Amino acid sequence: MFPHFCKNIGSSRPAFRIPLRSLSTASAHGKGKSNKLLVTGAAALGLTSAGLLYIGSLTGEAMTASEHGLHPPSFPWSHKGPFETFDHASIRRGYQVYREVCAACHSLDRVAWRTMVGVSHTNAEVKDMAEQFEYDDEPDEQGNPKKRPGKLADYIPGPYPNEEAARAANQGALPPDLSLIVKARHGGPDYIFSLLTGYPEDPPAGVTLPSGGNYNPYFPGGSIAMARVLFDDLVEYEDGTPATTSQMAKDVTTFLNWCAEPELDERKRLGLKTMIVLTSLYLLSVWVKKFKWAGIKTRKFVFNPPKTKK
Amino acid sequence: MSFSTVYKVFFKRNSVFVGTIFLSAFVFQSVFDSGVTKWFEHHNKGKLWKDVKLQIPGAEEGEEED
Amino acid sequence: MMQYNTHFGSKVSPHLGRLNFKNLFFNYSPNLMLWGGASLVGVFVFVEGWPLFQQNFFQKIPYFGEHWKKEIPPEDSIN
Repeated sequence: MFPHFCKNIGSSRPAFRIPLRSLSTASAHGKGKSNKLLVTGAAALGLTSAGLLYIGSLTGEAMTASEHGLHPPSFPWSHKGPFETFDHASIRRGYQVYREVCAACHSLDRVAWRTMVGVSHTNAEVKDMAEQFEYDDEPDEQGNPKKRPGKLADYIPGPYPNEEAARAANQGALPPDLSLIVKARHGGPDYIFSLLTGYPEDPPAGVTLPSGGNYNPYFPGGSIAMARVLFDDLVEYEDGTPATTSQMAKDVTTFLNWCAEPELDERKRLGLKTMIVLTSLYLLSVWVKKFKWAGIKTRKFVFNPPKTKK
Repeated sequence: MSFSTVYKVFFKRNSVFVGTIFLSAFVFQSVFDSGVTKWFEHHNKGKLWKDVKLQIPGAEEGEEED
Repeated sequence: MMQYNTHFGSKVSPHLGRLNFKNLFFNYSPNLMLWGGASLVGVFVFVEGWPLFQQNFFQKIPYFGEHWKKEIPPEDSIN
């Protein structure tokens, strides 16, 4: 069959026939049956696995909105925008919320007391806050371990001595360290705020939660070990701000955003300086280019053909 | 001051020319920094710690421990 | 017959390229001083953010030196 076929399309190239014929004689010599069996087996395997995958996809949670969590809306943060600093009053209130609510389970390992001085609290206030915690001191002459009150150079202590203790106290779930949580989650502060305020009264119909799980549509998978913690008037702000759930969530998110990006204010100030200088230099370079090229761009070529002598 | 005077005073001698450039760079970078900072703090007035500090009840200037 | 105590001939005064003691002082020194001043200002440009220079030099510039005087109030100091 092949030689005929070849003859039809390219009879001017008889050399083409030779390799084709040699190929067919090599393979179709008693092996045709096993080949057929192999192809049938592969097809059956492929169909079965495709069918199984399809059946699995009908009930599976993979690559669905509930697996990835609801996308948080974009909120008008006081520090959103290229020239906006943090609202430091909000950071101050946010620390109060962290201390009175979040700190029961979440640590803040990477934030030292001293970094809050001149940001949200005065020197004396932070010293007082640090002194309420005990830290390991150097041992005395007999080698007995000693404790000392905290000082500005210490880091904020967490609620649990180690990860195992944290898991044991929370039914196996580890409350994440909040120092960098805003940077560590997609959506940043929008996600944290949505998560804190996004607990519905009851999970929607059809959702079954594992024991110890709480439903939150913004949490990837929908089942979060942390229950709703912020309720109206849970804390009492010293500056008289009404402590609604969303106010507390906004303040604590601003505070956590500051924990993750303490350099934000200075970064934006330097960014402004940089943008002004670079924009000026760019415009200057455009002007210089135009100036230097003006003579070249506006020149005129005139071709005067030599006079032909006859 | 005509251009020829400017040329004679600042441009003609290379040492003076380079010195003028460095001096104006020195003056510019501090004046520019002051100006940008002033605008930045004006733009964010009320959110900065130095503004928030004034509204804290017990945290006025008086607390000078240590 | 005449006798010479020293050998007659030309001498070369000490020099480095075109520089010798005479023109170094009278011809080159004004320009070299200006270059020195220019380099000093150039150094100042690059150490503008260095506290050592800020405290020892820049803060002492009349009026203009206020830019480098940053007072941290005691309640904001971390000491």
